Amino acid sequence: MSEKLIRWEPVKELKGIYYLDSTADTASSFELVFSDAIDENKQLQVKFSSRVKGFRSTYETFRERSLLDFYKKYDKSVYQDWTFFKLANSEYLAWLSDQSQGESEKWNLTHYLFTTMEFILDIVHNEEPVVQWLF
Amino acid sequence: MKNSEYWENWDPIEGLEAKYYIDSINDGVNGLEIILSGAKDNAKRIKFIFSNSVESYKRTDETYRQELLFILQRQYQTDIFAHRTFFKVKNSPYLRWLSEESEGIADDRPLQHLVILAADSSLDIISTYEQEVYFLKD
Repeated sequence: MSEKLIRWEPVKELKGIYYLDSTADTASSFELVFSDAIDENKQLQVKFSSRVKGFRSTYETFRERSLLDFYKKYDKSVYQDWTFFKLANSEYLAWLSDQSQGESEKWNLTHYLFTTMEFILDIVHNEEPVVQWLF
Repeated sequence: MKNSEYWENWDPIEGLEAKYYIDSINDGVNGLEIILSGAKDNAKRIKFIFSNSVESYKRTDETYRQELLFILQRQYQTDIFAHRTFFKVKNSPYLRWLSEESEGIADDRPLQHLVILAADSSLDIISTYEQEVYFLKD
C-alpha cells in the first residue's frame, strides 16, 4: 500500500504554517506547543495523555526529499499552507513494524506529521491527542 | 560488510551506571534537554543539554527496537547491549536516511550518531557537536 498524506484539522481556525515552540516528552505524556507565524501569542497545544510509541524531530532542511515528494504527488489543496497531517501506510510505520518484528501491527498506530517553519515532526501513537488553543 | 553499521562505546561522563531510564526529553528555547535516571537507583540522574538543538533525533519505545537488539546481539555475539546505555554508531542507517532525505545536504556536515539505549526506550541523536552533561543533585 502506498503512503497517503491526509490534511488534519483537529481544531477550527487553524491557518498557515506554525512555529514549534516546545516539545515535552515524559513517562506519562507528550506535549507540543505551536505558535502562529504572524501572531506568536496565538499558541496551540497538542497533548497525548500517555507516552507516545515513537517520535522523530528533524530540521526542515533535512527533509527536502519528503517535502518535494508531497509537492509532486498531491494537489496544493492538501499540503499548501498547512502544518497538521496524518500519514497513512508510511515509511516510518513500516520501519516500526520491522523493528518490532511485527508487534506494532497489533496496535492500530497513527502517524501524525507536523510540518512547521523549522522542524518536521513525526509522531506515532495509538491514541488521539487533545488539541486546544492556549490564548 | 560495506553497509554494516558499527557500534562503539560512548562514555559521555565518568561514573555511569549500566542502564538508565529516559525520564524526560524537552526541546525548546534552552535547546534539547534530556534527563535520565538510573535503572537500579533512580535517584542517580543525569542531564544532557544540546544548547543549539540538534539536526535530528528520535525516541522509540523499547518494544519497537526488538529487531535492532536481535541484530546487535548476533553481530557482536555479546549481551553488552543489556548492560550498557551509551553508544556511537558509525556507518549509520539513520545518517544514510538523513543524507537521502536532505538530498545530500547532510553530507557536508560533520554529523555524528549518538544512541542512548535506555531500559524503556532508545534515543537516537544526530548532532554536529558535543553536548554538556552532568549528574543532577537532589
